[in-house]
Amino acid sequence: MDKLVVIHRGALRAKYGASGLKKIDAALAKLVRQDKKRGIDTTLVAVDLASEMKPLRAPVVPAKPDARSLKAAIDALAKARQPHYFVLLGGPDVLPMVALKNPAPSDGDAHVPSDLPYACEAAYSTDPNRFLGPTRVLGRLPDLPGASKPELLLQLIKAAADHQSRDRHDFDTSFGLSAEVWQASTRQSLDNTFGPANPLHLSPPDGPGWTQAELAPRMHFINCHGAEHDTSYYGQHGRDFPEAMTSAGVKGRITPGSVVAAECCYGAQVFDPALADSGEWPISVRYLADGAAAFVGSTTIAYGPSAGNGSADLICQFFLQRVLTGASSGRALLEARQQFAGARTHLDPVDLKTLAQFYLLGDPSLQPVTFVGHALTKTQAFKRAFAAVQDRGVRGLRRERLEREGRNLARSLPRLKSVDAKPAAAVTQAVTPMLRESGLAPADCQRTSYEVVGAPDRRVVHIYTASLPAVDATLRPLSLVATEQGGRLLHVRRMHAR
Amino acid sequence: MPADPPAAGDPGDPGAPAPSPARLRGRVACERVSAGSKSDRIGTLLALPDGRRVPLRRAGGNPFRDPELEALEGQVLIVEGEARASYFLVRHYTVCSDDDGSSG
Repeated sequence: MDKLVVIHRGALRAKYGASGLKKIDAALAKLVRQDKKRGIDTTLVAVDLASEMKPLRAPVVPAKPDARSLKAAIDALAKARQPHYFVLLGGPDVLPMVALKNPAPSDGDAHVPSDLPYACEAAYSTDPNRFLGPTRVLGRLPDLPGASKPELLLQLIKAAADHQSRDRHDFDTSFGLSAEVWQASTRQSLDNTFGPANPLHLSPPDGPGWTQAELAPRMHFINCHGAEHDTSYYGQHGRDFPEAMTSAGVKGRITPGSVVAAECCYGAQVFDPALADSGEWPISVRYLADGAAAFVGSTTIAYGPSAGNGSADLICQFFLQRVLTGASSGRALLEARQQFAGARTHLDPVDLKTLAQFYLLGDPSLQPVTFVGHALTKTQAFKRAFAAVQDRGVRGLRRERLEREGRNLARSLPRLKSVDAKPAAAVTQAVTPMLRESGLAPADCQRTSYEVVGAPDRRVVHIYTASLPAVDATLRPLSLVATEQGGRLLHVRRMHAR
Repeated sequence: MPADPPAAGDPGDPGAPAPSPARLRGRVACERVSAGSKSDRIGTLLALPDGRRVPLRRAGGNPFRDPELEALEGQVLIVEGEARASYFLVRHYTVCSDDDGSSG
């Protein structure tokens, strides 16, 4: 099977009524037909119907869906059908996200709502350490929590059905937006992804009013502040945090087929608009409603380093880079996750949260950029030979590789275990002046420590954060992540005060 | 077309905070919040008598810096609004004098 759309009919019917569900069925039927024309065999599975789940030996998700049941259902469907793409139909009040424990200490997030576990073979857990090796291509076509009319969902299904890949040249330009204080980091991300010629807008002074021409490029990279239940992203200069982009300001200005990566805290949180002051939709949903093909962002507070690129910067740029090579949006995120996790000997708590919190909104089978095959693929003989299977065979090979990569990561990346371990004297001696030089008063810092299970010698990660304002506010507050091994300081990095 | 199961009622989302009208009393403090993250900033909190420190966000205010709340630092407030997952949404507040019995 190529693509499996996971549906909870009871939850959808509770929101939209029988007539709404009927419209959704019709829209999905069209999606299946359009997918077939693209060479994708799509199957709809109602996870709350025993008549559909039992033949697949999959457990039925109860009438009131919960993440544990949904995870078990998806795992069973993966085993039974091995789809190349999983689509979760609906927002978190239709198909719940897994509420993972927050590995980053004291940042205000009680947990990390995540779709990552659904992309992994490990059994249900709320421990993010269990989900280090994603193997599945998965994305979510959201609706709005609290909605009573299905029009948005119908619109997104229709947009997925009508989607057409575009030539790479249609993605040559980009829209880059950064909080002014993070411009060096964002510039580096843009250079890595699009090359140095692409412009970068800074807030302040730019935004929040954007013209259609300014937003016209199909690749968007946004590195701004975001807040929970908020329909704006924010820039920063000193202690000034002006609006950089608003949901209302995006409406009607997005080019169909656009692809977005937003590093912002809560940048892809899907919430009931009634919770927002503005009453507007989340920016991520507004982008999709305006025709964006894919939006990758965070459900919670996100992280970046003090200089250069790291954490959120990396997973976002890896995703866009893969899209530009012609990957489907879902494969692009899976490869970005694997690249992000695989580049490290271990994931510290901040990177662990990063891996868990970024997810894909949009149909993961959509391929924004046309893949340019080798010359033989353009011959009649080649087309005849693969007319029946189209891309399916090669896609299967790619999935085989991605599964292997994911399993290797799951097997080889060590877990973190919270420990009450004081840093070795040599570590304290080295870190204390670093804290001072970073504008932190060591006495006011909280420390949280984690043992890297299975690492050689005894490797412990210590995170130092301050609960008081920085000694010198112009230095910007920050955290230090220090890695100790065998009683010596092995590595240290400073998290950017964003 | 498959037969549908009974309606689920409110499917709910364990991660989504439901608005719940609430009232808190405490002393306003300006402190560093979300340290080391992309939301790292000096935020406005309410220090409650039981020791909890609740981040405040004023309806209609900038979530990252709200001069109106900052100007109340050190004062005892009664705030009314909604307790949400990571902050208290202030819809109305009253400044109390220190001898109103608050421990702040």
